[in-house]
Amino acid sequence: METTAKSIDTVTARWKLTRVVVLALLALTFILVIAGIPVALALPAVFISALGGVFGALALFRTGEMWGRAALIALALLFSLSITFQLALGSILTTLPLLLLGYLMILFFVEAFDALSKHSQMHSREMLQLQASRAIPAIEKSLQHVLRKMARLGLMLGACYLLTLTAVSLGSYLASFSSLAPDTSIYIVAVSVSLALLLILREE
Amino acid sequence: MTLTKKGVVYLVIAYSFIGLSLILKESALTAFVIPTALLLLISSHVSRPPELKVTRRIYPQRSFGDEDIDVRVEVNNNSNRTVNELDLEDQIPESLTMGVGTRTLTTYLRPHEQVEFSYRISAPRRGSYALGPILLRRSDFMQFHEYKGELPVRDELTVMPKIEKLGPIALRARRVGQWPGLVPSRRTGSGTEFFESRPYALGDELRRINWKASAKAGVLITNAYEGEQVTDVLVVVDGSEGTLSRVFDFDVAEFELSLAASLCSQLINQGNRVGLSVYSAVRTWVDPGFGKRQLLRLLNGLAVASPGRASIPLQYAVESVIVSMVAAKSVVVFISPLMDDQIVRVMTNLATRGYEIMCFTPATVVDLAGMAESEILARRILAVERRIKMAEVAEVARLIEFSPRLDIKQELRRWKPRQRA
Repeated sequence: METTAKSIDTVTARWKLTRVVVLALLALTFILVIAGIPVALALPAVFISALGGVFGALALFRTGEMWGRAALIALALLFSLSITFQLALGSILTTLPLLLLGYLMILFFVEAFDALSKHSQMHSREMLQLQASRAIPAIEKSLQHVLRKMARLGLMLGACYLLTLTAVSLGSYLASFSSLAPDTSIYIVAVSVSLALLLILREE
Repeated sequence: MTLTKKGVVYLVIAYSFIGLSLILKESALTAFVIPTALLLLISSHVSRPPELKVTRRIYPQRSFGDEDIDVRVEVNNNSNRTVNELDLEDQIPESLTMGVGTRTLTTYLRPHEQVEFSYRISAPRRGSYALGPILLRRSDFMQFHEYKGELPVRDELTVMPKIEKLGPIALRARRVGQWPGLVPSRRTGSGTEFFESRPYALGDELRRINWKASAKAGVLITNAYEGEQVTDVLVVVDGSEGTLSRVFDFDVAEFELSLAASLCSQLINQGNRVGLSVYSAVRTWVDPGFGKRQLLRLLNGLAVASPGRASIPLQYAVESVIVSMVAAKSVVVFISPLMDDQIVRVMTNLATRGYEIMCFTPATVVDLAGMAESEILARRILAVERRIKMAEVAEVARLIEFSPRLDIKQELRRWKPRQRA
């Protein structure tokens, strides 16, 4: 019985830690995204960030899909603002690594909120009380699934980030050689999208 | 395999970036397309899940109401490949209320791995509920494509009517069976009630000799006792009246079924051969039989009964069933609100044929406060009509009133079967 209680405590602690880490990452992402917004708009940006942070915390700790969506909307709004200002200022190429990281973090949170929301029921207090001894493997499995998914997603998005930066650098590098192909990256993108489309729309 | 809404949104985002970069002639925007395109590439395929073995366990398997039901679903991956991103959802009828736990599971399964999820159904009402099938959704890593299917795991959850211990029910029937029971048989036997005194015959037990009578008569006289045997009993539930709740201040239909369950249980325990006929929107009947299995059959019959107005006349439906199911001179127990005009006729006819009849009817105690004058008048007329019917029934049957306020055990103890001439 003691072992069971210990196992429950361990799983619960790990589940809480996961959510705290995700919240910390969310806060970092907000900081990352508002970094691209000019000082004149800093106040509303900070306000939206704070609001988004609260929504994110609610989504993670009170588990509601609606809160998660609200946090993502706040993040997307700030990202759009950031990208618009960088475009207007003509400095998008210099801030591209930062913006790209912000974009990938948004994609990460889409998945993270979804996964945490789906698994929250499994880690609810009632669920832990419901035949606790039997439910432990299921709860552990659920936590494993969340962690595995986030780790794989992190790796995948990290690889995407590096590949994109490589493609952009390669494009700029090639552009310096040939004036005929100033935007090599666009061709890489077009090819990748077409390939993806071909794969998606093919018949089984 | 279908493209999900999420997949469409990602495609739209990718094309928006391409469109914007072309419109604004800003090549840097195309950089945002690469990760999206890569994700679409990686998550471009989802296969059918391998064979999964799913088992649903229900605790307790037989419920008598007022208790929560625990359901546990075990999922086994019997194949040699890992199943990623698997969503399972157990289907339960809308009429059931979910308690704690979860009916959905999002998981991955390694080869030969097992995972389970459990949930609790909050004290379901009497009835039969179909659990399942389990909806299966298998998606790729980013959930851009999904495969939807069903796992045909179906189970039935039967919530039987609540049984109350009624204590011995004193019956009297003109027709008794061979087996010892509690029904006086009007024949000498091994009962406890004195039946007659007769001259001693070889083989009579010495303790049965009436010494006083023997001394007076000058020959040995033996006391003979009335044998007690079993009989055939048919419990008839009249659940046809759809407007009962307006006449009585409690759920008569449910109470009737619960009383029928208690009576069936007690009568079976007394060793009788018991059958059941429910006259309602869905007619149910169970042929008479003995034993615990028969009790389960009877309770299952009561569990699936749904009160409501029947489409065929009561006299035809009930009388024909009774005559075909139990032999004349057996016992028929009616549980009826006596609202139908034909019910009295049915009982009179059966009594004429020699059936011993018991009738349980709900007691009418309705609070008339706050009712309109016309409604009070209507209820009074209805009450008078019922009283007349009850008086008619009392001529041919033993009448017992029931309600949640009345102690049915005490009523049954007080009640004595009619002594026949």
